[in-house]
Amino acid sequence: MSPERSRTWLLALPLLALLLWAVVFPNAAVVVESFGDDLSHWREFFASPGDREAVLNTLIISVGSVVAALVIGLPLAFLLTRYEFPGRRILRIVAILPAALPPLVGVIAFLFLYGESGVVTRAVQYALRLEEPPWRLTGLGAIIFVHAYTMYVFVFLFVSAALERFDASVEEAAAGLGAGSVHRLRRVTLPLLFPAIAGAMLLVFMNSLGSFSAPYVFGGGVRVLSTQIFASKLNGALGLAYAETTVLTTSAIAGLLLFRWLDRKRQYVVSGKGVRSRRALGSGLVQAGLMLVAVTAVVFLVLPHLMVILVSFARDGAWTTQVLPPEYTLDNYRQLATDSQLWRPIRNSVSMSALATVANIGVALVAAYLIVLRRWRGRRLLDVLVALPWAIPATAIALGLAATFNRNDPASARILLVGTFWILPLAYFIRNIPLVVTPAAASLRQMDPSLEDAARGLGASWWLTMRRIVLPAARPGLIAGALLGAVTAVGDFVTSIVLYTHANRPISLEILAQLRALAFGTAAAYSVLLIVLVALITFAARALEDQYTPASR
Amino acid sequence: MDAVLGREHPEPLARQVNAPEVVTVGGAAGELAVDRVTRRFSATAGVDDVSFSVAPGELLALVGASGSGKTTTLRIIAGYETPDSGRVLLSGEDITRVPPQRRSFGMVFQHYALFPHMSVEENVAFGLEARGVARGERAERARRALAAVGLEGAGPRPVQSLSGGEQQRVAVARALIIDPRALLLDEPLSNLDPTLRLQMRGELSTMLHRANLPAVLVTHDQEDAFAVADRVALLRAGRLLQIGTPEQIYREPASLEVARFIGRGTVLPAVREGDDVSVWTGKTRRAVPAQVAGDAGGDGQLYALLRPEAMRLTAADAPDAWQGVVRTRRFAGSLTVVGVELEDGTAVEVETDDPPAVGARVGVVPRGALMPLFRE
Repeated sequence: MSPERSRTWLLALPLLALLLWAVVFPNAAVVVESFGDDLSHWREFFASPGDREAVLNTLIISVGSVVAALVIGLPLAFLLTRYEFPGRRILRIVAILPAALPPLVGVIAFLFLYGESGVVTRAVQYALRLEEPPWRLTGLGAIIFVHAYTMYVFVFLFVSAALERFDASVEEAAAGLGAGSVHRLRRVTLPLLFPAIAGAMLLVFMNSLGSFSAPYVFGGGVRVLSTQIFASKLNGALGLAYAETTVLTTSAIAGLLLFRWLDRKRQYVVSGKGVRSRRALGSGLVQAGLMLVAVTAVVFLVLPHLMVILVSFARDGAWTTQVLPPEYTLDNYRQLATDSQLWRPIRNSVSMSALATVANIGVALVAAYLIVLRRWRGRRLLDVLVALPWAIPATAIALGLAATFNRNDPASARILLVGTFWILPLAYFIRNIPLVVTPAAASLRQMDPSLEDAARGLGASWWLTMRRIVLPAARPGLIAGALLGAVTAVGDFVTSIVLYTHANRPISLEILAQLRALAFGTAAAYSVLLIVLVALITFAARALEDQYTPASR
Repeated sequence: MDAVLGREHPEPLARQVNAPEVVTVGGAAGELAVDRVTRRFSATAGVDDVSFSVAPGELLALVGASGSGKTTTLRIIAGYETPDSGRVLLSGEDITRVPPQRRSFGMVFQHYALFPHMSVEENVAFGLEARGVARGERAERARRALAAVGLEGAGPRPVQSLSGGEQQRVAVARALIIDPRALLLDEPLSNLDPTLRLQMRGELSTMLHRANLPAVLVTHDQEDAFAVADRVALLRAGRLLQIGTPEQIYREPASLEVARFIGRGTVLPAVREGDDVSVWTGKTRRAVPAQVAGDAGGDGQLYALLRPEAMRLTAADAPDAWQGVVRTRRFAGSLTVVGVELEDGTAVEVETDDPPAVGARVGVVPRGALMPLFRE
């Protein structure tokens, strides 16, 4: 074996072993154990009306969320990239705000706003002098409502990006050949946007399928698979939980394959210039109407953020039947900073996500290098392994870890992690592998592969080549991916709720505990802190990116 | 002269192309006119008070550097841009505000703008689809249109599998199938390799003339324009500098600007003495019994344009000759153009069939060929 090839395997074998052990083994164990000795778990599953309902609801929510995200995201993307109107710039910035809200925080903000005792609900109730609240934020509709708010951003971002580099001359050619605007949209524009639309739909679908926060907090008795798994595990019905997890994971992978199939052969080479000036739309009246729409949209989009900030200053326990909290105080923040019990979750979240992110960066660099720049037998396998955690819903990953690392049994590759600090960083790390590897590999693909040969040809050692050539090439993607991973980890709720202990409880679980204790102010203060953390991470990553972008030097 | 310009004779060299059957020759085609059109952009140069007209069966080339406004002019004719002022007329009818989809102009885009998600046949038939033509007829007419551009049997192929030249033929077939009232082409030759380009010059010219429609072609390449167009319009910074046949523009440039843009040549100060003209370099002045063009009179300094064919080489010590040294040689078929640096540093280009070696000392004498004159 040449030294080059042995080095590749030297790097690849530990990485493959790690991925097989941490990603494949726990999830495979769940599937295997769901069958148990006698299929009794599966009989139980099929006999349970609750589980049948959960499967149906999960499907309805996923499809409904995809439709809702498309209905909001598509027109907004067209409006903001193609037309000019007053308020466009501010709406363009505000439109991506929902994505900056950690899942649980978004759910809580909606609760404060539109819940039974929410600000908007009460305002409407009192204004119309109703006996009862005008609506209840429960059931499938409520879940899809929150999903639409947080996930339309995927559609909006993907389609906007595709429209920005859209070859305008293709549409012009269609117009010149006599096609009216509807015909153009149907036959030319939408088919060409399809890859972007399908990508966003898949993202919304996968996120909705595994969504836990919204169904858990205000599902109001609506069963979905992720909450069923959690409940079964809590009740000690582990076998049933395995069966439910297997169903959830299988649905996710089936959805993934379905979208892949829909999107087959849809990669076009786009040539020509994508520039196209934004057009002013219609007359003064239309412009005024659009401005009104923009203002309304901005208010709706910002309201959840503002609401969380407002409530964070509300005195705990004082807000009962009023529209807005009646008393304001800085105590909530003061306590977070001084009470060591309250400070602990913050320290936990930061240290656990930092650990996970560092591990993710290391693994992503090696994996991207092996996938993009090395030719070796295990390449396809590695490519699949690093993408796998993305196809498995977070609840399933968490359950797999809980079921596998709950005892010390080195003979079967198990070590005891459940109940220790390390189980959560490991869970975060596994979930974020694809988030960091994908952009890192994309960055490396942009590098001319002959650069590595050139460096070696100039006498650089393998290590120097890695440090001076490969790492700088992968860096933009590594930073972007690490940002995404750190943000996901610091706000994580889904995996944490399955695996946390009191000692390593993260911010999200403390928020939940405070909500249960009706300490809305403290819960909101934690939420604001989480938003600030996310903003800080984003800012730091941007600063790093700028520093390493050659163009800005 | 053709050799200097790299100009080809289109008809004999062109591969014979059948006239596309889809075009109704001599139909209702009318004159296309642009009347005092102005369009301003904040960043880039727009179009400034441009007027011209194109008769049916005539091919006009808009020539200029990038930013000259040639593409904007074409887009205004096609209806993709609306001028700030001025009109676009077809058969005398004002169509300035008619949207592109109702103009029925056939347009060939610079990068062809073929629909990447459709087959070749679907691309060609798209204009018929937009007009509600039944599927069967669409397929039949698309097949005929493809055959007419020499792409029989290419219908089911994905467009991205075609070569550049084939893609261009598809773009032309797609533009012609709708029975257009005018043809517009944006840099149709710029994406082709040199050999194909020479061939397509001929084919395009033949095809466009057979279609008997007013045709406007945009190009930055004057050789392409001279090779295919009946008339050439020169644009610079949004203004129309000159419009005329290639011969007119070459022989009688309307200004020094045009003269410098078109073809090669040396501009030298001149003095008019009756029918003769004197030109000089440095201190050496030579009277030339030349046919002159231009010079409407006036007070400014007079300049003469000496094309390479308006000078010849003599012995270095010949009386009355400008002394110089050969610096470059450019082989152009039957002739060679040599670049000579005269004593005072002026660089001139001279055509010769017996080129001396680089570095040789030579004499240069203006001959009595056509010599355009300009006032500054």
